[in-house]
Amino acid sequence: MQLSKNTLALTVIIAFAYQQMVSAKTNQTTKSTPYTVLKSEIPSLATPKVLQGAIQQTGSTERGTTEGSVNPATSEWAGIAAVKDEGKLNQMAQQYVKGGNLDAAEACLQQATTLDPFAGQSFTNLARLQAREGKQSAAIANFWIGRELGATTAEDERTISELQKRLTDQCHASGMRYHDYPQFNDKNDVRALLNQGVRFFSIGDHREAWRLFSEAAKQAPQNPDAYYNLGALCESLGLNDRAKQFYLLACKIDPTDFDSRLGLGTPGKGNFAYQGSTFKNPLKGSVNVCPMCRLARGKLMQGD
Amino acid sequence: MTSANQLIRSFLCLCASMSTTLLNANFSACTANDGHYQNGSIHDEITEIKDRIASRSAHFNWCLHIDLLKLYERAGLNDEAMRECNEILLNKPFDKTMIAYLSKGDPVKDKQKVVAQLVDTAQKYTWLTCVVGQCYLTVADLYMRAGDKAQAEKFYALVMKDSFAGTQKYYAEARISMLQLQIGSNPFNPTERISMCRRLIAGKPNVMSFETRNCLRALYHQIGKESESMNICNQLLLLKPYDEYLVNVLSDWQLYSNSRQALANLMQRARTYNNLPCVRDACLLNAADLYVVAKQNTSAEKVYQAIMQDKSPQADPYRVVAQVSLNLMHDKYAAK
Repeated sequence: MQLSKNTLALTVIIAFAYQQMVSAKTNQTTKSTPYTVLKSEIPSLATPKVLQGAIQQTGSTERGTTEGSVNPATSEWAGIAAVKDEGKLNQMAQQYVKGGNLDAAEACLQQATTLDPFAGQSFTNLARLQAREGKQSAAIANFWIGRELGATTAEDERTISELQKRLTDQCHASGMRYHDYPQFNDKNDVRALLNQGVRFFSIGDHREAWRLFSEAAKQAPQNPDAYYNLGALCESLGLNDRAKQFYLLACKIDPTDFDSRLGLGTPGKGNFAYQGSTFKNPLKGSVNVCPMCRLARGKLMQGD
Repeated sequence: MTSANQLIRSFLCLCASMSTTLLNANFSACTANDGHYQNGSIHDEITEIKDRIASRSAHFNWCLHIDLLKLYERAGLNDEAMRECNEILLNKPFDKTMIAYLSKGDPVKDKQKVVAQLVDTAQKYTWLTCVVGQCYLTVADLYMRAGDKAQAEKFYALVMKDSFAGTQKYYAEARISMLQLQIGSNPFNPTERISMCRRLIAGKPNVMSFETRNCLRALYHQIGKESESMNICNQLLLLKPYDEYLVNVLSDWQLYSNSRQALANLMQRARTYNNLPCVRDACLLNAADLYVVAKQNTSAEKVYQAIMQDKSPQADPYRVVAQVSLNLMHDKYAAK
């Protein structure tokens, strides 16, 4: 879990770094308006040109075909961490799967998605593995990313449907509310996207939270909540300058939004410094549809 | 500090006189009933209101949600209507309009019918937590008023059992009622209820309970002890600056329906409770924001500057926000 959190946080930072590299050139010539800044801020789901070049240089555009085999028996965990090639990691994962070491395979693929957050095949491979291990929610989330990066097959789509159906049954059996599962929500509903993002943020999945908030911002560019949430997400990762830009976007859309103004006025400590952790949700979204609220309930009610 | 207070006080008097001149202020942004979406099919109207809600979701607009709910009803989209009802109850717990909507009848004349309707709704829409909380709480209160303590206790327990983060207010109300029932106290007697809240708060002196204090605040307001109520409001705003629920309370719930009246109420409260920094600054900030929405930037600027003059540590977040608002008005972020 700790590894997963770290890798996801690292991935978001890497995504920012890529965007900064790309936007640094474009910003020299274009005047920033709320919408153009938004477009350059949100990581595009298409592979950036900078990254494509890097992939071509290493000769690993086809996953798992160009590198040699790896011996999984020797200090595998340190070995995985040391590998910096996403294609090689995919190949190592295949080896581990063949050897029955699914944990190591998953670690490889997690590492691969961290190294290249735009490599759809890594996400799809990870999702397939997680589906095989019974990690349904994680599998669906990774399949979604893989699908958006154009790396899923018809077989994967069938697996996604099957996983969703299985989750539906579990949902009914356990009495959980359908809002608890993002796949039951209308994908075009901005509120649902924000709620789902808050949910992922609350479980430490910053990358998925980022994706959902970005999607909300794309669908409703005049909705300040999405920008506010992106700002709060950046602030929580220590990216204060980036957070300020998002808060400013939110403020320009809605100059009366308290939280965005507070964030803008106190970068790096604003909303997180002033919120009593017991009482205030730093993100915007209807917290009552978040399954984590079940866990948070004890904390919320501790005053009583 | 005294001179600053005097300055603020004199400024507030000035603002109060200015607010009366807002005869033609543009407050349409805060009210939904401007009728411009009355043309076209019902689905077009629904889409239009949904777009308006989506574009301005930073502020909950009661009128827009009510209109949307009515349209869903007209279109026969009952599930969607109930979802809007949940959204309204999430933002405005115990909303009387929503209680009437859920009850679908007169609780005095047709108690059994109303109870059956509420229980049926709660069981049908189990995922809409606020609807469930409101239905069960209303049923419990109805039984309580009828003297059926066993049934009342059963439904209070249901509210408490299925509580989520969005339904803390229902949880707190049910819990206090339940405890009162257990010691033979009357949940509908405000004085007895106040003493129960006080006991709960005194029982855990090191823990700040937002919801219990909020109940206490509402009870003091109910019995006319406004200064006590505002004192608690100040404590709550200190913990949770500019809490939307409390800001609505400060405006007497006029923000959604009558912005001009809300402005008058906020300025009046800021003047009356000048000694409570959080209450005063929350009122002033909201008033200034209303001026911004009405595109009266000069007035807004003056109110923001009044907040800036409050140097008390409690006013820290409000000062920051007022400064940012002034910077935004003068476009100081444009160059950065």
